[in-house]
Amino acid sequence: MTRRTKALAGFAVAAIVINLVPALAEALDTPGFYITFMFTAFFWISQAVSWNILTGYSGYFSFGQGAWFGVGVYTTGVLAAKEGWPFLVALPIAGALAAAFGLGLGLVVFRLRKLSGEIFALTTLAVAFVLASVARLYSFIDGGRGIFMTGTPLPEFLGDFRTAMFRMTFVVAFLTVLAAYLLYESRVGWGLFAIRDDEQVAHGLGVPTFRYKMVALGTNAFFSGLMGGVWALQIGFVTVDDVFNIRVPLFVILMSVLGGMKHWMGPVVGAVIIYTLTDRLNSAGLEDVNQIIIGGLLIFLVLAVREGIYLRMRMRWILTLTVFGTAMAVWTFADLATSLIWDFAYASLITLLAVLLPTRQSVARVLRRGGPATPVEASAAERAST
Amino acid sequence: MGRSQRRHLLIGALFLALALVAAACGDDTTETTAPTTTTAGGSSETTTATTTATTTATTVNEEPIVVGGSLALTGFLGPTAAIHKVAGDLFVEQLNAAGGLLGRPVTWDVRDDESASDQAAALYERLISEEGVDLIMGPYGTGAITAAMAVAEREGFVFPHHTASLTYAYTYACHFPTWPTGVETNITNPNQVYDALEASGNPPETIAFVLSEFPGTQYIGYGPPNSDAGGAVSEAEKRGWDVVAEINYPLGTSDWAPIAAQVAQEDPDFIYMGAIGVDANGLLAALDAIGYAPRGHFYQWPAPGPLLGAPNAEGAFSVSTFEPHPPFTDDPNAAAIAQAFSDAASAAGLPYTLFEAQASVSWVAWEVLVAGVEGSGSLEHDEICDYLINNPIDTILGTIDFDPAQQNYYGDLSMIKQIQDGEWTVVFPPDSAKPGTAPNL
Repeated sequence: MTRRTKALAGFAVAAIVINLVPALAEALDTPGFYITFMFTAFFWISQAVSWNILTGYSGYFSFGQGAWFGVGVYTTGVLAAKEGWPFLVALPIAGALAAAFGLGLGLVVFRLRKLSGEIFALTTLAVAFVLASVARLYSFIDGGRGIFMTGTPLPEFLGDFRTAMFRMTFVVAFLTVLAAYLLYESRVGWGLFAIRDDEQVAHGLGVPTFRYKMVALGTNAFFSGLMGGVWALQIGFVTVDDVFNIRVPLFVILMSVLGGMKHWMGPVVGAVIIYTLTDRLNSAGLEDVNQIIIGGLLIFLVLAVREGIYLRMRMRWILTLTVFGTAMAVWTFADLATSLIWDFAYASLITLLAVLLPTRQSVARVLRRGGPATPVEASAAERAST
Repeated sequence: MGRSQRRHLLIGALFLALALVAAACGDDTTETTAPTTTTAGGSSETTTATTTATTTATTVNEEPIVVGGSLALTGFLGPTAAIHKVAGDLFVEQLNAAGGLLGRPVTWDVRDDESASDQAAALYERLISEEGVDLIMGPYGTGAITAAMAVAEREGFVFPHHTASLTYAYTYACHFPTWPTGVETNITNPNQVYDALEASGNPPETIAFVLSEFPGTQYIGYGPPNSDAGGAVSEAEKRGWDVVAEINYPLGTSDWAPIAAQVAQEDPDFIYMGAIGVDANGLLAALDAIGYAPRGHFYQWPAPGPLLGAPNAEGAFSVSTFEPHPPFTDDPNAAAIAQAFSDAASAAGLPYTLFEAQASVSWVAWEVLVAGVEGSGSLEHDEICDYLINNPIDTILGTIDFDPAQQNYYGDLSMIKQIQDGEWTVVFPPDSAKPGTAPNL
């Protein structure tokens, strides 16, 4: 069995297991918030991973996540809530429209060498402001009136609202991570990492840089918009200021940097850690210091673990799994916390602590020992360790 | 110890500290320890906390009733939400001092939704389904209330709320709005303003509208989306007033000079501003900078304290539900609440400490929740809901009779206030006006 086959089999198993969660939760009569917690985590995973496809892989730093997300939110808002289209018909259009906007931007900015680096970042930031103004100006979109998503009918087979949100966010997050993995393992991934290292050299070596960057930006915008389309339901009442703000772009950066931008799994880990931490700090009544703690943690970890948490975890995967499994079991069965999410949060913190213990191994060496799958991974590991 | 080891030791210490903080704080909302609360006896004649604690103390040693909710403690709605935090804290304090609810103490578990609607929805999901709160209180602001109401409806929770402006959209059978605007705010509210202007004896002939692109102010200005109902603009036209300008501006506008220039150019008799927060200050400052003083002006939901200090603010109109002057304070109970709020707001460091519209509707939301529980004698939400729908509720704003035929609204009880002699003063309708005052234009 090849490495890719194994990975795809892993994806399939994960999909089946996670898809059973709502039924399991219902059978065990667990608090409904567990499902909400999970679908919110799926939301952030999808946003962080899709952002990382562009920025982590190609090195083009983007603030455009809020724009793609907003296009998705407003597309389902207008089509499903205002115009009465079936939600599942409007949803793919949300992704497609966001991708179209992304590709439209890419057509302009990727043609002009001047628009790279920080200019690219500022351009993507400006796109969000422009789109916010357009939404605010035109009444067929918003016109300053907002859009009520409550009461938008969903197909019965998706289950009640919470279950439907779980299923839809899971599917989108799953597809996003799968796309990130497939791109990472593909020739496009190699090319994007080469662009990240030195675009001119990559171009000189025959990497179709424009095409690959368009693929990355289109994929980023598509999945961000698709998830935005789903998330409109959770927002409930969509307004320009609620959608086109700095929250989504800021958090995806935090999540990806913390988890690690050089591997497709990095943003997944970062999203789960940051979301769990913010949720639990909020739950503990520490919302006042939430952002201070998260910001401080990020600064600290970025300085201490520049390669991101994920590569550290992978480097010490036996330790990671053992500590996490043990901590989770102890907390759960000894009933040390009052909910499974608290158990998970404690186990995650302890695992992080263990992962960050001193080691003489370098990331690159460990990855080589296991036989890194691709030159991309090896290259990433080399870069991370230097 | 090498640098690398020191670094990792530091990392370890950080995570340990985080774990300890989380462990120390994490479960205090779910591990109930039956707190002892000193209460005032003899409070059986009232179902609310509108009496201050002055009677004999007894002791309640019961598991508390937990009321969950969120407020925009941070974010752009934070300054106004702070008023609701002080009002809620004070109400719960007085409620407990008066014997609690069903003989049990009450705790208010309020979280920060960061002024984000989806955050509010997730918080209510968590409070209800993970933390098992007994009751909920609505958040602050239209977006958060709308999102939280959807959760309340799914979970079958009674949902009192105070500051949602899109009245036409709320159809949940067990939502209980306490900002007494009536279900057709777009018609009743501007007409009350216009009636006040007519009552001044000098109504305007020309009027300019400056409206925030906030859904609530747009609704009052133009009516519900995709509807011919109209709003403040069309109601002004019906009175034969000449609408000389309709200017819409986005939330967060900070450069008021172009808008001020347009207004000054049209030189209307009256400016109707669908303003939120300190928008009014921005416009007045910009008008003042070009040497223009409005002859008459109205602001929908201004920050009341800052507006008092704005240039040419004297004579400005706004809406209110309560101001701390007669006839409102003729009721000693209301006067005591207003004074207690001012003291609490001062202690909390709020910039404007008077008990006015925001604080009063917040207070009423708590009164409604308590009346429902005490009246039904239950924490079962369907019973509380039935009670509230079928019984008039006494509040500091008067008697409220939730009417399902009007989506649980009950007529427009709001009033018109004006800055007179540097103070907000209710001037209309006459039976609510401060004695000796009238609209002055």
